[in-house]
Amino acid sequence: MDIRWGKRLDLLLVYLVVVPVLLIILFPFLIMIFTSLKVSNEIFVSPPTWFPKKPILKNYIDIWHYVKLANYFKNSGIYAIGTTVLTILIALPASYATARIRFRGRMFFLFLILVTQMFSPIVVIISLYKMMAFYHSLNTYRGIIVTYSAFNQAFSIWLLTGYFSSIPKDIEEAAMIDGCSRFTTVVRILIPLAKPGIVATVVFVFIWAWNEFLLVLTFISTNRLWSLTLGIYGFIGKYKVLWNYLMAVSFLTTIPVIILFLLIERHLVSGLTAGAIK
Amino acid sequence: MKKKAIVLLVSLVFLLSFVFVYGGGSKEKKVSIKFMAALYSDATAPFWNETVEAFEKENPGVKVEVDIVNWDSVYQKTTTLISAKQEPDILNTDTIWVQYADKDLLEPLDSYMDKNFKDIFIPALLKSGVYKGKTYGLPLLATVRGLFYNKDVLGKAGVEPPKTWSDFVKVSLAINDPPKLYAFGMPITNFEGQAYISYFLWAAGGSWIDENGKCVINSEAGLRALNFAKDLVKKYKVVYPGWSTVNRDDTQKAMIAGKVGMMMTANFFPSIAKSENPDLKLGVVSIPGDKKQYNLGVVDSLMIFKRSQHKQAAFDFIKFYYNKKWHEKFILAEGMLPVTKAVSNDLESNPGLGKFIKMLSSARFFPAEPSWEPMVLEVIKAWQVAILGQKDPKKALDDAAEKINSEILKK
Amino acid sequence: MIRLRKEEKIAYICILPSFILISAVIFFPVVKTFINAFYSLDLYGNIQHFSGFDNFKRLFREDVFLRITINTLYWTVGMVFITVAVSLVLALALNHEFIGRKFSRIILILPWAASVMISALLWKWLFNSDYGMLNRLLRELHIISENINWLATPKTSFPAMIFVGVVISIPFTTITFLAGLQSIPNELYEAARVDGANKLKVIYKITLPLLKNVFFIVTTLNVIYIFNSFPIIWVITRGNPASQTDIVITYLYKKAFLYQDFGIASALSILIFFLLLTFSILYAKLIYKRGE
Repeated sequence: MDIRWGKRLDLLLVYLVVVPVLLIILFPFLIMIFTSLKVSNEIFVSPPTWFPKKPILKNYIDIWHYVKLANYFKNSGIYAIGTTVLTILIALPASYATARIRFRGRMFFLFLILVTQMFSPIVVIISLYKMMAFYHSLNTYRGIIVTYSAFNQAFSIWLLTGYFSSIPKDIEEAAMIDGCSRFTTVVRILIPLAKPGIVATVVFVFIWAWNEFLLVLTFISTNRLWSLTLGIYGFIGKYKVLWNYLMAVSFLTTIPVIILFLLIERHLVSGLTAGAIK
Repeated sequence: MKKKAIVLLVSLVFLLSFVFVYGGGSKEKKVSIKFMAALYSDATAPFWNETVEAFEKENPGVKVEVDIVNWDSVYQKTTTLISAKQEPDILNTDTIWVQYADKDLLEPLDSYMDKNFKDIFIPALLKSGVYKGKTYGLPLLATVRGLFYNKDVLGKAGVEPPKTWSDFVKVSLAINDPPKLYAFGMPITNFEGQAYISYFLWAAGGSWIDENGKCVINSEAGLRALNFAKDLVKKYKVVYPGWSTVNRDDTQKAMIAGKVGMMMTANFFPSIAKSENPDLKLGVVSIPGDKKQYNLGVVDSLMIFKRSQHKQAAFDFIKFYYNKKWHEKFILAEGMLPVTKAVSNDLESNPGLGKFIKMLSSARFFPAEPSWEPMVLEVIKAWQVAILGQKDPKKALDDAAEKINSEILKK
Repeated sequence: MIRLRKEEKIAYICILPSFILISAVIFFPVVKTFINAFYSLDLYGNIQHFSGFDNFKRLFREDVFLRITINTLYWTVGMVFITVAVSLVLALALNHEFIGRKFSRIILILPWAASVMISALLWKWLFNSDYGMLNRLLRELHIISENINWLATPKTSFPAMIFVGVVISIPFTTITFLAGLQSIPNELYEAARVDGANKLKVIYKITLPLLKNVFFIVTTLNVIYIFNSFPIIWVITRGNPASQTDIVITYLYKKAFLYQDFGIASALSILIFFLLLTFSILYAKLIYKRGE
């Protein structure tokens, strides 16, 4: 009896916390979707309308002609996936080392990483641009991917180091005593245990790269290599914002992120908990 | 196994350095020119693509690469490019070209233009691209600003659109009905606040800079202009709230929604209003002055950078744009005003543009001043704090002028 | 001793790619910014001549300097505090089994999935007094009776922008907390339950201490991101009126690309750097007071 009441009370508390926050989060997105279904002269009326009087899908068709949307999707995909892969590949060994090995210069390395985070790209954009010109990396996929990965190192290493450190050393040590090499131990045991951390890092890096604006604006000039974020700006003219199109594209842009999240969410949930019980 | 790890890591390092160092500049034999265009609307990109295609067909040896940049990012991008000595061949931007000309970054275009070519322009607009006796900027398009008013609102109150400041106060008070309707939208923000300040400053007979190149924003006329704007806010209370944060575009929306009776803005306003609220009836008159009315014209320009390797080809492309067919097409697609006589004549009877083309012929332009942008930002700040009542108007203007004259203009 | 050396070698090889990447891309520009701060720069950020602390002196003389410093503190501390508090509670809730949990997690990431610029544009529009949805919503809920002009004065526009920032920062923070919560072994909870500890006590005694690491990362990163977050203010008020809603980073952008005063901009970057650095060190000391 007591326990059941306690559980119900817990559940009530959970809903009391979750529902209002989610409603606030949902509010602008609903408006975004409703607006993307409105005809342009229904957007600026006072008082504003909630739902489109007669919803149309025309905006979603038109945008593919107005801008090279398919191409922008492709480019954004290349930037984001490339960045995610490169970042994780480079950050994993580094985080392992900083979490597990006490080497001279460890603090210096962590400090260096932290330092890089303290400079917003805005601050260094001009020097960066000059350097990219020097490396012949303007208007290339690799220029963007490498730069993005560099800016994501700090976060990834910090997060992954944190996760690696939170995993008890005993399991690895046992494996190593059993005769596994360090490399095998890391790949077979540590990395699976750190899955939630890696997954969180993947999500973060992907989303960061997917939505980045300033660097891609500065390094990419040819329309052929524009990302979605640059493409979206095609709807923000000097004198007029095409809200219905802007909202339609924005909504479409969030879909890949949501799909990624759906694919990965399972791992985020099960991840370590399952691994630790075994 | 450990070796495997080392091999993997070392190859990663190699991959990385390879990716970085390997140069990717493709070597082309064709003459290739870069054109950084500014984004006006969704019609901008298709227009330039079509124009470039036609140009390249006529000039098989030349390739034009168009890079379209949103206005909000134009300054940042241009500054970055100049800093790295990577300027495009052709740039489309606003009054900031004067600074580039002053720093000797732009190619004077006079020697490229024969008399016939010079003759196609409306003289005042061609003149707006002259700095220190040389032509650096060719007008891409023009806009003109006037006082727009809601015909129904003024009609209901039985008043005529104002011609002078005292009219303006009378009309404002007659139609003001807050919070349902505010008589006047006066966005003085750092998004084009210079236009609004000019409306009052010039109306009072003042100016930004005197003939010696000194900032005289704190002149007697300047102070009168500021005090008039302040009275509209504080004394008559006819100004749409949020004037210091809500920018021009959002004030336009308020006018479209019927919350604002009058505001100054540009000729493209009616077409925006029409698409969003077809029932709104807009009228337009010249900007009321203390003594006489006037109009403000704004020109966006095309220019060629000195560092360009293919100046003649770049100029040929610019020239191609001024073909009647292309210029007219651009003007109509963007809803802007033409800069050539031929297109102006053509569109004189255009119901949307004709009136504005006439207004443009008597318009006044912003001064050609290399430090225009930073100067304007200081003045906007001064006006904002003065109207908000955080600083005495006289002191705000004196401080701003002092700062501008000692720190900004000398650069 | 020998073993340590060997381990160190492995460590150095492991961090090498990351080290190279960071040095190649970020370190050089950062050093350049440091040098620039002590030089007089032309309109395009190129070095003219050495000028000592001139840029810093000019920066401190700026009439709005104090205002933007206060704004930045208000912005960062307020936003981080609210974000972390809300996200922690939310993560604890979402760690529970309940109907609609999966759905809730998907909704949760929405603000993160959209680019910040787009969210800012959208919110700016929602805040509009006449055609913005927020006023209509609040009126329908009978919370307000007359439209509020949210963006009219800094008194309302600044908190409004902090609110937007919180909404945008919640997903990342909550997800990270959630991931952290999941790394806490169930046995610990069960043991506590057997011992008869109540819910709050479990959270206080077990969950929070074990989240320390995550907590530190989340707070530090949030402080750095929020301190450097540019689009929200740039899109919504652009610092108007008279820099009264500017924070350091928006002011820096203005100085660099509108005033083209790269000297002040560089000096400001150095200042930001030292501020964030001091904060990080102090904070790390505070959190890890009792050793690691």
